[in-house]
Amino acid sequence: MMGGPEAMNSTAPVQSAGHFGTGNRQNIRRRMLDTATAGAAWGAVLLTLGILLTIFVVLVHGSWMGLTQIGWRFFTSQAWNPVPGKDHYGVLAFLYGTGVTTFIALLAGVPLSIGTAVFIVRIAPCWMAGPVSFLVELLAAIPSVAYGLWGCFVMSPWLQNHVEPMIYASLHPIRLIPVGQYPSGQKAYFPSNLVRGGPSGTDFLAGGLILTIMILPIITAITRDVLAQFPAEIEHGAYGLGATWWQTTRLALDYGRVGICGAILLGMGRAIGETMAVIMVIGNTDRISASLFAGGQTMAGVLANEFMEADHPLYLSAMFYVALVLMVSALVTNLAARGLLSRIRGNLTRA
Amino acid sequence: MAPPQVTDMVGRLHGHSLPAPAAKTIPITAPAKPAAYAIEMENLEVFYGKQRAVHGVNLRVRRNEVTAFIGPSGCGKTTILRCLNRMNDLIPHCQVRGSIKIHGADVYSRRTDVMELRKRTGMVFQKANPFPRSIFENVAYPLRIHGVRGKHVLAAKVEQALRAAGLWEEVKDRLHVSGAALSGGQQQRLCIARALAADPDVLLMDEPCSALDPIATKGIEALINQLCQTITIVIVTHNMHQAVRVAHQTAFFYMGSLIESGPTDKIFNTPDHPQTLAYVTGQFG
Repeated sequence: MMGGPEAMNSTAPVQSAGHFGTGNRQNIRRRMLDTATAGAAWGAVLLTLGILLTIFVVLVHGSWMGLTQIGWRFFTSQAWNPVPGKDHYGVLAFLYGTGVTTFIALLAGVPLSIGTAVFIVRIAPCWMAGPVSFLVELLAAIPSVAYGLWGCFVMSPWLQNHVEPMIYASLHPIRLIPVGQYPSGQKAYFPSNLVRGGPSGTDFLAGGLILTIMILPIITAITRDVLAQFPAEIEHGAYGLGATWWQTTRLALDYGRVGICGAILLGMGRAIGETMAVIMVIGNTDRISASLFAGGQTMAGVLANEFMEADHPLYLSAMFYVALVLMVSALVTNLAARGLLSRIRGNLTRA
Repeated sequence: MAPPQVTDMVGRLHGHSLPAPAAKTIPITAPAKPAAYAIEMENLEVFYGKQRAVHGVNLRVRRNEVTAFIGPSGCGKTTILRCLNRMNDLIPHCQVRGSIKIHGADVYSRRTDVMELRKRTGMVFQKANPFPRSIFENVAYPLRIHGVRGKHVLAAKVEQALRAAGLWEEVKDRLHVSGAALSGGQQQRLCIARALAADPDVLLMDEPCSALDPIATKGIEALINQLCQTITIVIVTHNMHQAVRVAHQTAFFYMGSLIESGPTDKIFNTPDHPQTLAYVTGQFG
């Protein structure tokens, strides 16, 4: 580029009058730069799409042995026994673990997030709304493993010593609905069965609660944005008819319900895929138990725990199979969330 | 019912814009209604922060008549309107002094139930603001929030309100489609029906036709003429012709003060104050 001006000086007189010269070397170079950068951008995009496709192909390929040898039985069996020769693989326990922890996270996280968003948009004075919003979003910046460490050394002992004994004391004696039998022959009752085994601190409840904190920021942020788009005209219309603050807020929540559903699904997607923090508090056992105080395992958790140990082909293939199931469930949740959120964006541009 | 209303309106329109048939229209502009006042404002002052937006307004609004508030932008007419049902409570740093009585009850008394006040003082806004719900649910909304239950009661009241707003025939077959699917004029009549469903004594209208085409405007004006037989209407308007067409009484505001008020034909034909004359003849504003 140092020679730029001279190059222009030397080539400028060469141009003949009457047409726009094609021989300007500077312009040729500029055009080449165009081609090169556009090409690089294309390359980057193709590489990214290629990686996505490759991951999917590798997952399917890697799990092919499992897909053909285990097939649908993978989803009906909860035994996970990787001993060579008599090995047996079922994803059910991990599917259950993921489902239960995600359910607990949503059960606790959705009201918390929506409540926080309502506070930020409809209660907090200006000087408070910004900082509160910022602090909630800061929760998303904490690394997963830091949550795990905190969960393991602070939350779990606290649950075990203070919270779970209380829940245990209140739920254990209640035997409302008979729900079958334990393997020991003892009869099981709801809700007493939810606390069977007594406080442990490393269990489904702990896994669900750590996920609750981790999905708070995303649900809160999106719900906040959705509520902020509630039109002032409609708000005044409701107040003008004598609606109370809460009745007007209900109207706002109703107005944004599609967006809020999208937010919840995004949070759910995060809960399904979350790995590190969960395995540090969930107890890591491949069992299905109705008890919130029983240890469990999630799909993401089993992959992180056992990827080093998968030393024979079917074991490895079963791991890939778990990864495939995990990816498909996360993908479906995220696509659904995106669909809902794009629908409200469409509504907003039309309005 | 509809044809005589239209003639009324047209008659009154001609009465004010042309001098000749004025005498004929006097009985219409000054009907024999009880001379009680629905709204009484005494020394009303409104502050936004430290800035005074309304200066000591004394005004009485007659019962079961249409009163128009006119004046250039920023003259305080909408502010005053929004004091009447305490919508200004929603604006931070807005302070109201003086007194407003609606049917003798003090609006700014500590004992006033604002929700009840707003229910009995319906408000129609500049921009039609149907809720993101069905036509039926829009009209049922004020009933539901004020605790009306029962399918049949709701259905009857919704029909009554839609009929009163002149919308029933147009929407009776599609009560369950979204209120946003209606045309602009229909949406505004839906909002009027919604306000009427709460059975108000007073209807406050803040430039209800400013976003509507002439035909829809005509419809709303005919409706106003009809509604004022049973309720008191205060309408803020930028359109002086509209004030002439619909209002029995007119109040002219300028820079936050009430300059003059009185029967509409007097304000528009022989006002006492030179500023009123300048405004109604289009010399400013």
